[in-house]
Amino acid sequence: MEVSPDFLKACSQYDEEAVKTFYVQFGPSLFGLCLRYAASSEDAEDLFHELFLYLLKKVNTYRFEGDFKAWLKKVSIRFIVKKLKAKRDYPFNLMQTLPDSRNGTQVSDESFSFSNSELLDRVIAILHEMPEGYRTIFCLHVIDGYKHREIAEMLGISEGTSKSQLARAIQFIKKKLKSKAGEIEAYEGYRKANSRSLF
Amino acid sequence: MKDIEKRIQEAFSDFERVPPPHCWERIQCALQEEKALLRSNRSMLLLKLRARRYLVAATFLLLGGIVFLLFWNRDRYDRSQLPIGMNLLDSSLIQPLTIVAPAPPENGNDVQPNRGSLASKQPLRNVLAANSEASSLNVQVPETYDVTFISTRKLSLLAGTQEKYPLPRPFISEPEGGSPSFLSRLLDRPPFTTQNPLITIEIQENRIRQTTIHLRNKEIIFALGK
Repeated sequence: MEVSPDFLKACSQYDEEAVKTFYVQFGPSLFGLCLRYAASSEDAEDLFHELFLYLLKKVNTYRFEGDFKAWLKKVSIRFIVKKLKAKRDYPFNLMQTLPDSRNGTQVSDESFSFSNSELLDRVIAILHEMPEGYRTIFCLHVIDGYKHREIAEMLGISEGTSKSQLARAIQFIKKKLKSKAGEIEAYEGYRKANSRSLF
Repeated sequence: MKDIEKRIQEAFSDFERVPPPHCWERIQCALQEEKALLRSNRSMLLLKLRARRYLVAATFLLLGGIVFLLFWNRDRYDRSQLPIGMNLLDSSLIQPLTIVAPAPPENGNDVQPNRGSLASKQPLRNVLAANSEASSLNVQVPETYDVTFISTRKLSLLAGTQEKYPLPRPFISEPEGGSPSFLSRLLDRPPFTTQNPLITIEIQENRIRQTTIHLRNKEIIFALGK
């Protein structure tokens, strides 16, 4: 999407119309980002609130090089990682593991017979159950395409930790996709409840 | 990439989710607060700028006042005339002292014709006028003082105690319109001491108009009015 300097300036000056346009255009993708990095939908709402206000202040630093949406995503991920690092128990919150994910049997890479939208809902529900380290590294690597070296730099951990956390996260997701259909159905209820109009 | 990872990546490639309506309400409230904060910050900034401007103006006024006062008093107080530690603006320490001229001897034999003897309590100017032919005068200081410094209108000469007499020559300056020999003669004697409170002024040239001798906290004005 093309954005004009005037529009970004108006956003940074909290012009109501500009902010509303910004919210309508970029709010859903930003909220989606928050939803997968947060531990719950409530946390995602809080994170989205902070992120949105942060971006309004930051948009006038965009230099019109490359796609604005990609820039916005990059800045948002940096902000989320910064929030994660600001937590009191950092970096130990990244090292949390679940007993069943370490000792459980390996789940085969069989294809799951879900549609994409079904898979999305189920994966989001599973992400909310995951320990923070699993979730962050899984999202950064699998969904947002960061390499282990980049993740290690961003989070201040070793590449080995990043890889091991990712492996555990994938095992965790596979297991959950197979066995926790009931909980996914509960998430369906949440989705319906939140699929009201925007304003 | 494994199959499941690939599928998840594809599913999330354009993942969007409409935020709940109350998110927008929260953001609106936060924006109102931010705007109010910005406004108050701006007014505070303006206030600070104005205060700084006033402060600079007040500083300049104060400095100007001090410079003006110093300039105004430049003739009144020559800093070099003031004893160490004396307040520049404190004039109470310098008070004129009336010279009590000694009474002339009745028979007049003790006094040489060319030496003035001051008999009555009268200003020195009149005494000098009365002794217009005198080439020297004896003036007795009625009280005993340590000489703090001796000054002319142009230059002061610091002379603390008798032991410090005579003053070094470079410090001696002629009074306005006067002769160098006047002060030289004056300072060659140790006149203002507790032991010898007598001062003899020998007038050799008539061009001497006025000189001032400061005793400690006192002042004797020699108005040599010839």
